[in-house]
Amino acid sequence: MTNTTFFLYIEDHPASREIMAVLLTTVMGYTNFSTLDSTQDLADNIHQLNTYFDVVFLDLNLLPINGYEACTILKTLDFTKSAKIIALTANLNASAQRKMVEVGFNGMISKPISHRTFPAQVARVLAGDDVWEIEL
Amino acid sequence: MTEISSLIEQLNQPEETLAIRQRLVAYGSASVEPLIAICESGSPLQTANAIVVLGEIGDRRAIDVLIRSLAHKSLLCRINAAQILGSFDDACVVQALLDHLPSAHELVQIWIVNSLGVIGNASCIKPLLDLLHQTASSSLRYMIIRALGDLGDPRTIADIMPYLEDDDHHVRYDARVALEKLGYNH
Repeated sequence: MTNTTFFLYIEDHPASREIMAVLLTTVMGYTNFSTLDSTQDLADNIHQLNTYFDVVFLDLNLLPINGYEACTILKTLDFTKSAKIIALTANLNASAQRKMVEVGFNGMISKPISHRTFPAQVARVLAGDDVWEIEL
Repeated sequence: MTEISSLIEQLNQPEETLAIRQRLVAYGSASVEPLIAICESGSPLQTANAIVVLGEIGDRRAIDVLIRSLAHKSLLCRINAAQILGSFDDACVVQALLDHLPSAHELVQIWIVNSLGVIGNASCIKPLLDLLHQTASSSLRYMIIRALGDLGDPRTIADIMPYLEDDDHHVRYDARVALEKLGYNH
């Protein structure tokens, strides 16, 4: 499982990418982890990664297009259309979560991500569950 | 080797650590001293996992080693210690978090701020305000503003007000929420 699961994290904050890498690889033992630092040329950049992703973690506060628009695009790309797309956000509120559901996110995990809770959340995502931190 | 020792040894292996952690938490008090010992001598991964288990058990015997772990060479251990210490409402914990706040890695600072907000000790308001006014990190700004809202001192309203116009929308959002918590009416 740890060698056959492919993760992508799109995040413009270097320290957040750093801790995600530590959690997924060092703590959880996954070996296939890619990152993008913006949504600039999103489709082209994902095409260059040449990987069918299982899970995409997506920051919402991105440029030049935000996470909601990026999710819509990811749902159309061959390499990501079957992936579970999980929003990572600091703003936990019901209206934002409704919007995420509308555009096709499969879950939301609050930032900062935590070693205490993140491994169990990833396990639920990989088991096929949607992961939301707010009950709508 | 006891089962607890065996489980702690396995905290060094990435796979299955979630299940191992849960089994150690189930042992409760009996696993605290061995977990403390591994925080002093284990690998960074063992220590990081042990810190999380100690936090879930919530035993105050762990406070000293958690405070020492704020200076651990591993970033993940420092982050975990900063987060877990928020479970302990204790004057020495607040002081240790404040001592590390100004110079810690940004990700450690974020969790220190979160823990100070959870503990809710008024002595941390001034250091939080000092950091709020000087940091370039939007993540840190919104975490500090969130903590100030949780701390509940209306004298911080004037300090938070300017952040309603922050460049970062997360900061603006948390400033609105914090001001409402503090009783400010727009």
